[in-house]
Amino acid sequence: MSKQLEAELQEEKTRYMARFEKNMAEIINHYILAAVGDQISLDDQLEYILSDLESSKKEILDDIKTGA
Amino acid sequence: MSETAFYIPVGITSKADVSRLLRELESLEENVRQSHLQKKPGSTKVNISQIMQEIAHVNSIDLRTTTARKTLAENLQQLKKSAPIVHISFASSPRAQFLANITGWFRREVHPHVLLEVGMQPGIAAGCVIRTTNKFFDFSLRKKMLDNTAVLAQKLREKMQ
Repeated sequence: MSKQLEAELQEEKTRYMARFEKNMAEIINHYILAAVGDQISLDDQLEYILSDLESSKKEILDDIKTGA
Repeated sequence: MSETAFYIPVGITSKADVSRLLRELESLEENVRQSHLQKKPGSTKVNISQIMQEIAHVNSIDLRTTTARKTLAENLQQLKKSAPIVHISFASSPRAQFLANITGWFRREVHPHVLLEVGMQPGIAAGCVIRTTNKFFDFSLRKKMLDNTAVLAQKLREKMQ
């Protein structure tokens, strides 16, 4: 009886975890947005944004060159 | 228009900015025409915007001469017609200086005539998303979260054990 309960509990836990994991990124993103969304200054992000652009420079360049 | 011979200051970001300059040039032309009709050339005082003065300056254009104004108008028309457009969205509205930095990067690294269409997508939280002619680049915090779901899940599982 106790083993069966334990197994069911574990199963339930796994199910909850799977559901949470499936939507985790959205949940955390939503949380971050609600908590600090209006405090993340774009000016502070400039360096990161430029480094992201730099990392995809070749692809952007190729598309601009060929994608007219 | 030669691709490198026509310089665009970073203060000119979008097609709308180019259209604004073209309207200003038209208005300037009309003022000059009126003052000639009144036989008082140079009598009308015209206010020229700072950005117009800047584009004239970097391209060594003397706005007092008809030919130079015509050349500038032609270059701007050509720019409006053929400049590569990059759509870029941020979580909030960018300040002019920030946008000048982004525009500067595109003009320096990608194409000297890139124009930006700036949008807002509060849902991305931070970072930006970019759309070029055929491609979409997601540099948002939201995307980074999604990409790292496995890491987050692993950490969570460790805590739950």
